[in-house]
Amino acid sequence: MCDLLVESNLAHSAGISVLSTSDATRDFREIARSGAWSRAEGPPPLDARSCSRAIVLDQPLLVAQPGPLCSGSKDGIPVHEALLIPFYHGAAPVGLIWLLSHDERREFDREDLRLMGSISPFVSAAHRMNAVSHQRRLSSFGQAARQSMERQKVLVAELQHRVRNMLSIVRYVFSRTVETSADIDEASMHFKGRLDALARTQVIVAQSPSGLVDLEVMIRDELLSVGQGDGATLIIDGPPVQIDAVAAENIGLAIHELTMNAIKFGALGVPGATLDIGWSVNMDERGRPILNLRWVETGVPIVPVVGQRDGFGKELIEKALPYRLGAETRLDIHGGGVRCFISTPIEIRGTAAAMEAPDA
Amino acid sequence: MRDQLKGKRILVVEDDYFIAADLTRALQRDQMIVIGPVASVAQANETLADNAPDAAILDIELGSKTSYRLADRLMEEQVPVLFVTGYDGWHLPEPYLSQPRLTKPAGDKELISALRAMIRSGPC
Repeated sequence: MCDLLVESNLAHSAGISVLSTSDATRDFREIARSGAWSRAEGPPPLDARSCSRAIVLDQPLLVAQPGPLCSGSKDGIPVHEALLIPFYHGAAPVGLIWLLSHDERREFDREDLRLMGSISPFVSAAHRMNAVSHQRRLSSFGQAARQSMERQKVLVAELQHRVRNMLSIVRYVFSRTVETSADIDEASMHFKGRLDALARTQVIVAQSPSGLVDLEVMIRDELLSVGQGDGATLIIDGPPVQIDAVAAENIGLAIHELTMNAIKFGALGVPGATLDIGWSVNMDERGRPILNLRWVETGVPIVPVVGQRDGFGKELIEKALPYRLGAETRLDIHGGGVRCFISTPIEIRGTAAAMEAPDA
Repeated sequence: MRDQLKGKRILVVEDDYFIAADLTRALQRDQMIVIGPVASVAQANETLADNAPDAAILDIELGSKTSYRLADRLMEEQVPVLFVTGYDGWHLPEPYLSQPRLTKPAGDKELISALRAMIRSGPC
């Protein structure tokens, strides 16, 4: 608007100042400026008394050769005349349009007053619209900020919840391990192993944006941690399956117990024995996806004693997995090696994950 | 002091096996009788058909559900309820704010003294 006034040679400089909310003090806040004065530093060259008079009189005010108070800018731009045009919202004064001439070649006249009188309602409307959209932007920004804070709060609570649950699990694993170990060295070794297995699962969960864990990655991690990889005697095979953190914690611990047992008594410790780890997913009669995981050792000459080491692995597979995951499990310990079967409902969260993706 | 809790029947509703097992062992060590533990509200309701507990320990979050409805039922039946939760207090809705509550991981001593206070002041 100010640019327009300057470009159409109405004034050398133009600007708009609005009244601050504290009406009594008649404080003005400049919101636009154009023309020669836009290169000047400092506030517009208007004395408060003239501005107040224009507002109070409710009519344009011509200030010819403004007094010494506003005799020009610091960098020497003189002010020859100033024209102050108040604008209103309803009956309430909103602010002033100010036009400046910097030399005698431009002097404001009656025609300028008439023209500005017709322009001021547009300035008023534009200012109001600007204020409304500013308010809207502020409120939608506020809403977004609030939502983000709410989300943050939920995430923190969720994290806190998970940490506390994990501490509770560690507490139980610790007391069971101490109770069932022969001495402090054995307890220490078993406990560290179990803690590391839980930690490995946490690392995979933390690295996955969806919070899901790839079953194969988890199983390979566990076996690699004891130096075991695919080969003639170890087969790891199954389709890609993602499981949630709770299932991963529990199944991960089970794989750990089976692995430690196999190293000590079973297929991973006996030459010529083989271990086949495999899985598949199918639907149960209600259409829920079920993960079927098998751990089959063959060629182990002596009868291994999974979990009988201290009973923790057996308790985990036979009690914890059914309780926590609703899994059906079977642990056979007889000639040839350990055989363990775990069937557990899993959530296929393809659609949920896709819906959450934009948030991530 | 211990005799006060001896033989009391405590319903345990907690979806994590390890925490449930830990609670069970702590209660049994002090000669209480554990009803459950069960992992869901549905299982708890089933169990309640045949058992009348003297007190209940409820995990607030059971998978994607909460145990508030179950708490309402138990409180109506004058069974004192102890909540255990991994969340801070602000998470609790108004009617349960004054309910005794333990934050996980709860120590055995805290658990026993909370139960003792409940059963002493409770309506049983």
